[in-house]
Amino acid sequence: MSQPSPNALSVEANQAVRDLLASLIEIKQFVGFQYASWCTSGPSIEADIALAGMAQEESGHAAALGALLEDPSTDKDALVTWASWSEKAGGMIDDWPLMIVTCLARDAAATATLEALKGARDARLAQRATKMLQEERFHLMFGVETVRSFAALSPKARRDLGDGYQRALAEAENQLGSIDKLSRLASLGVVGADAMEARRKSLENLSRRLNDVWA
Amino acid sequence: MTGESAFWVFARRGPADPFEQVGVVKASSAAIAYVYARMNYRERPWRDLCVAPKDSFYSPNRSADEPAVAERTLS
Repeated sequence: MSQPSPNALSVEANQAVRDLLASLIEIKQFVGFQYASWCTSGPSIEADIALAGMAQEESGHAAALGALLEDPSTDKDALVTWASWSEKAGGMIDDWPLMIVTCLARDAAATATLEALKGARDARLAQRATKMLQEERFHLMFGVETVRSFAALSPKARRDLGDGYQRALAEAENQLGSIDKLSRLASLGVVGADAMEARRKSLENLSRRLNDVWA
Repeated sequence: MTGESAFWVFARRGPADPFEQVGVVKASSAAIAYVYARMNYRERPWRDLCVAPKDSFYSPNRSADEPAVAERTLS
């Protein structure tokens, strides 16, 4: 039996999905742009190649989510191509530690939302979220372990980075509006009732992994 | 970068295949070495990939001032 596409949802549910996807695409563009901007300036050749690979994957995620919008009136290219990246990303963050914590925070917010979408009623959305989560696991590992490498920084510098992470996470959460949007999607039956819990667990798990880093 | 160690990267394509060394990465921890390995050596769809600190391998032939066993036999 074929699964319903987003267009098979009610008008209200479809709009709610689109709102969330558009926010997710912006986050992916931001992170992809920062990684791409740094992929010739990282601390080592290994890091540069990893950044290039992650930029490619973030761009792929934005394109895959953009394809789900399925609206002829939407200029999908404008959402997911390089031309729109630099403008929306607000330029390259030229401080390596700050770029890492900012992207980690934004990726964390996006990943938590994808965790919630993994159980979406729409099969394509659920499948793409699941695939993206497989790749995001390594992106988060890269972010967390790179943050750990900042252990040599002074305690004040580490605390400042911790503050930067919390600030970027709050901004990303605000940009995504995932609590409101996911609640709406849950009430419309687009995602299960456990979606919010999946989101919370994802953020909590990452926060636990980072707890000792800022101290 | 300071504080980095070399990690050998091992991978295999199928569950019955032997692991082969596909390269080496330098990283500050095993976890980030694994991420680097995954991104740096993704030219093939590996089934399994792992890293091991280069220092964790013992070889009596690899002493800096001592030639390899084969070289000693031949000389």
